Amino acid sequence: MKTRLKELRAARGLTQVELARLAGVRRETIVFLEQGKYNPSLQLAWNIAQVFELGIEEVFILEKPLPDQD
Amino acid sequence: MKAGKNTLVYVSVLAMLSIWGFIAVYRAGYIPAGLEIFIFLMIMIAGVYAFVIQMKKYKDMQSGFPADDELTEQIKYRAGYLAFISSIYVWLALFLLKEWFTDFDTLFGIGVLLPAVLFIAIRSYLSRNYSEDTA
Repeated sequence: MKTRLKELRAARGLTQVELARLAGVRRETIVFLEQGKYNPSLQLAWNIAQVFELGIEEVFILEKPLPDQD
Repeated sequence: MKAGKNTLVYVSVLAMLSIWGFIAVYRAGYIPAGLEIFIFLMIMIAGVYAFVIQMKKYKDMQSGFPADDELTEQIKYRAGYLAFISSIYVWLALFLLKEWFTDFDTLFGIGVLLPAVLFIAIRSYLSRNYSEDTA
């Protein structure tokens, strides 16, 4: 899963610590999310999207295509 | 939050008692020999680790961060799973090498404490190098 977290955070002038506090997680979690090493739960993805006032799909981008629905 | 603080206090006190216990035994003149030294070392590692982790959590809580979040929980579960798998091999090795042990207590102590130390090592490693790719 790709993420625009770093870009969005920089655009809003937030530090990792501030974002962690706003999302209710530890700073290490934000670091792993930005590095793409951790896929957040739906709850955390929603919390982070709320911080940026965006939709989840605008913050987190699924790399693998969805299964063919034909 | 209150339950978290109570747990923190209990674990910290237990960790301190373990360390003081070791120091008391050491000062009493009993110096473990042979394989027993590994048991004492493993108890020390577990005690110090528990203390350091709880202090870190306490500092985080003071700074307004949660003591645990979903990533730390996941790391804990994964480390537990890997330590459990490792413990099977540890016990297999201990049964194969049981002739090396002079008494059952030492064998049993190593069998119990080594997976605990492995859990600590795996958890520390995953805390720094977690990746979904290695799940």
